[in-house]
Amino acid sequence: MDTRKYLSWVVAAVLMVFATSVSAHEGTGVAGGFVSGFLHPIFGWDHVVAMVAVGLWGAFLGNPAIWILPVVFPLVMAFGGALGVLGVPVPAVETGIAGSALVLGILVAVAARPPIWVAAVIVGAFAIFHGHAHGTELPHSANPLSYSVGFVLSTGLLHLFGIAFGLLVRWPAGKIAVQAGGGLIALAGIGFLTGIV
Amino acid sequence: MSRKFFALWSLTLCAPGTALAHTSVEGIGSFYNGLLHPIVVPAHLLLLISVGLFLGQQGPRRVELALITYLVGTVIGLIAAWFSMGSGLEIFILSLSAILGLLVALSLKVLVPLCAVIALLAGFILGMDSPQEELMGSQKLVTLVGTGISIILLAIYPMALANAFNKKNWQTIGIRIVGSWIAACSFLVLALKIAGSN
Repeated sequence: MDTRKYLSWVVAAVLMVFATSVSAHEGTGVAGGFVSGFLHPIFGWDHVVAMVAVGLWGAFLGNPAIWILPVVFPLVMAFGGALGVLGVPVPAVETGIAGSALVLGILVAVAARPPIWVAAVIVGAFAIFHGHAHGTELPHSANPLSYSVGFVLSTGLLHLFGIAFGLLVRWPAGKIAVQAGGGLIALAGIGFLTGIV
Repeated sequence: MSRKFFALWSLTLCAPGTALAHTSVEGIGSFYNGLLHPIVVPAHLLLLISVGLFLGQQGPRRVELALITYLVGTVIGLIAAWFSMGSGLEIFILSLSAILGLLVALSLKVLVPLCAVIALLAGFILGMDSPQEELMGSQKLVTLVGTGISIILLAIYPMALANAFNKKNWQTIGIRIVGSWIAACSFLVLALKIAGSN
């Protein structure tokens, strides 16, 4: 009996030598940074609807706005993110993000077609709020660069989703569907602002 | 008892983990590790894609000199890496990729000499920031050769892509969007580095 007990201790000791670190469900390093960055905009409904609204509005504005807005947005968002990283306070960030859903949703719902520079200024102003929110998370990520690649890519794909849906405006029924989508986004914006959603 | 103990001990010795202290990925060898180095370092990958897209946007005639200077810069950089002359170059890599990403987003054509200087600088900085300080002799040489090949190939592919994707409007815009993404990522992490150094 003593021998078997001793043997089991030896086996346990040997198994402990081969033990590897447990990394269940928790991404680390480059991959972890990318995944958490990629999921950050997707897991925030306020980000999702605003990004989709940018794409939808771009579709209504037509060329070249449909493509210029997705180029402008990440650049201005990076500026907002840099402000967040550097600790420069931007007032009412969450209100700005919720407001972006409301304003952009209304602009899509009414099929507004302002000059391209006006559209770029509106979208750019909201991009600062979204960027600031992402930027404040950046220093805490596993790998800041892969985190930023993840969230920029994710944001771009949400724009693309909006653009793809927005292309339905070519058909009369599609135009109604896109405008209805804008209305829903505006309602969501009200929900975010009032705290209902 | 001691027999069983030694039997177990022998069994343990039969299943050792392969000792590959000088490679970042186990079991793939020095050359392949060198080849993978620019891929597994996100900052390098960003600069490689941005320099490739930038050169591709310029068109084949404008980048003939730049391709030569890029090759020269990479070789000089790798020689500097051999002597471990550079460290902490990430801030320069990010700055350059932010600038190049912005140039791609704006779709700007630059003068041929400036194009050549940018390519030289990119190759040099990428090579120099790839030191394999833990390696010695032929292993280090093989790894750096692998890294050099990777630095060249990984810039050529996006360059060819950007050059091929310039026929239709959506293609050129797509390249510009990727440029804006690269600029955004680089700028953000650059801000983080600056914030960390203060």
